Amino acid sequence: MSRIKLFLVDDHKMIREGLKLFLNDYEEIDIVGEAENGKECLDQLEETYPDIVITDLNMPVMDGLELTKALKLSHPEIKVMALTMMGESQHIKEMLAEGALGYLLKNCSEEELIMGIKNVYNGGTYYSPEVTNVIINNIRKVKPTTSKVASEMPLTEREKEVLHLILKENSNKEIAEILFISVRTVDAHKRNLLDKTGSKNVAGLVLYAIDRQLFDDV
Amino acid sequence: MENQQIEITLYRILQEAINNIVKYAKASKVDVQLRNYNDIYMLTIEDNGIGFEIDEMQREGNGMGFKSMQNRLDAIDGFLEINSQPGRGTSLLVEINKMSLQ
Repeated sequence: MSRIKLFLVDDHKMIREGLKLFLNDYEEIDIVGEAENGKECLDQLEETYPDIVITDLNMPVMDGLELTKALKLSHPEIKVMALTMMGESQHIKEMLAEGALGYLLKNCSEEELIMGIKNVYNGGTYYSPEVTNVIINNIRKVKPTTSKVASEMPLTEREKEVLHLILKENSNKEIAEILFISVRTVDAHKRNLLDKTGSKNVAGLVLYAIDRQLFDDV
Repeated sequence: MENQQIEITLYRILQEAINNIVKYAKASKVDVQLRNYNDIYMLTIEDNGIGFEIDEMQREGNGMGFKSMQNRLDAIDGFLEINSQPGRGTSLLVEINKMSLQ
């Protein structure tokens, strides 16, 4: 197997040194170059021909996003992975939109980094679990329900039970029978649920429950 | 709360309910909520205690506390519902219509 040629871009020397230190232990990885910012990286590409550029996002002169854009135009065959402390959805979205195939957070483990590099090299993608969550939430377009509620109120046990049964597509009457309560009480719980979660209808409750991962089986 | 009678009614009901829970329910958790909706005040008191059979309690002539709750609520056209099952805790629902008092 040919060695994976990596190019490191990070404005912090310590980070580059640290990465080199442990990547050197892996035979299959060859660090062919390093740079303090995007521009320095572009300047060295012709001599180094990396397979993968691992880049920080926030850097002086030319940041990771600009570098990714430039690479897409000039060297579309070079794969880009972000290695950053920034896990906000805006940064992730921008990088992915520009074609980054990997997005790792700097708190990732060594194994994760190696796995990510190999995945990307072999034609796949790799995103840290935190990043995947952000991406999924974006696709779902579920805005945190908290924004609609002044201060979030926890649900009572009964309310959670009722919510769970609602998600299981039970009618008010069925919920009443299962919980040994009256339909009127079910209505009251439902009203509190809608109010507390800032939902307009049952669909809102479903999204709330999924978003908070309230139940294992839903 | 604008209406003092409502305030006192809710206060007494809560007091009675907590008293019952402490005396009988053996609960480890109680949720009390008073919610102010456009049309109603809603008080819910839920415990995870031993619960009881409502019919049985009435047959035995107990439940004076609940009766007094009901009387207080009748005076202001309020609604009371007690839900309980042995082993399944007890929940109290009180709804007081704001409009009927204006």
